[in-house]
Amino acid sequence: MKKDKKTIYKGIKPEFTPAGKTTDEEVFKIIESVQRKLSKMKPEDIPEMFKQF
Amino acid sequence: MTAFYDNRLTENFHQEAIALDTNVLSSLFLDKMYWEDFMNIFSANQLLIDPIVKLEFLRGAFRVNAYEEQSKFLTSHRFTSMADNHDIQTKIYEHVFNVARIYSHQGNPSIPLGDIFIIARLAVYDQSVLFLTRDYGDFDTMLFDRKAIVSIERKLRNKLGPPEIVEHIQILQFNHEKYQVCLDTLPK
Repeated sequence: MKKDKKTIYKGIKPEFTPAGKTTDEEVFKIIESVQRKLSKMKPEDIPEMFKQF
Repeated sequence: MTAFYDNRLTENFHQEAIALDTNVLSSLFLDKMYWEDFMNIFSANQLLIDPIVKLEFLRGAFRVNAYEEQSKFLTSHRFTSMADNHDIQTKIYEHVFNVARIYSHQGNPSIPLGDIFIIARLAVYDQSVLFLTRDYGDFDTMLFDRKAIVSIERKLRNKLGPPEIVEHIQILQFNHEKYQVCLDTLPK
């Protein structure tokens, strides 16, 4: 008897929208600003994902 | 700063859409040179932000008093938001319980809830969406194919640790066939 071939779900085509218009220069200013803030914080107060800054 | 990767591998998915894990996003947020290296490597790719990753990234912002900066960072013209509507959420929920069951059955019941939702969303889409993460524990080859690894140096300003680290980012593709095999082996 021929075995039924199982159909595997392949997924849908993704839909996306642009996140915004913030430029790289603006991003760099943000990075500098946050680095200054982190430098002034006590190590134990820094969130885990920013510990290695 | 320097990045190490195989050009031949990255050329294979030169124009794919790539979803970023929170750990990759946080590294981008901390270092201008890391950002530049990363954007050079993935200049042709759409860089996707999953709503769950956005939530993970923003929820600790109050401790640094940087909610405004982090929110604006996420609106970079380099990033693309993944659609989040009722239809998508319904499909994600169809996969969430399966993913949780698979990980529990395969010996990783403590996988974070956020990671389960990220995997479930990747299960919804076809194979044109790749995933970048530094997490090798919860994102492995059980449900994914590892397509490449990119290593990027990052200088640290925090004087308490080493002066620099090398971050190894894996490029993963969700494998629907592996997913189906895992589902089939779950106890009824």
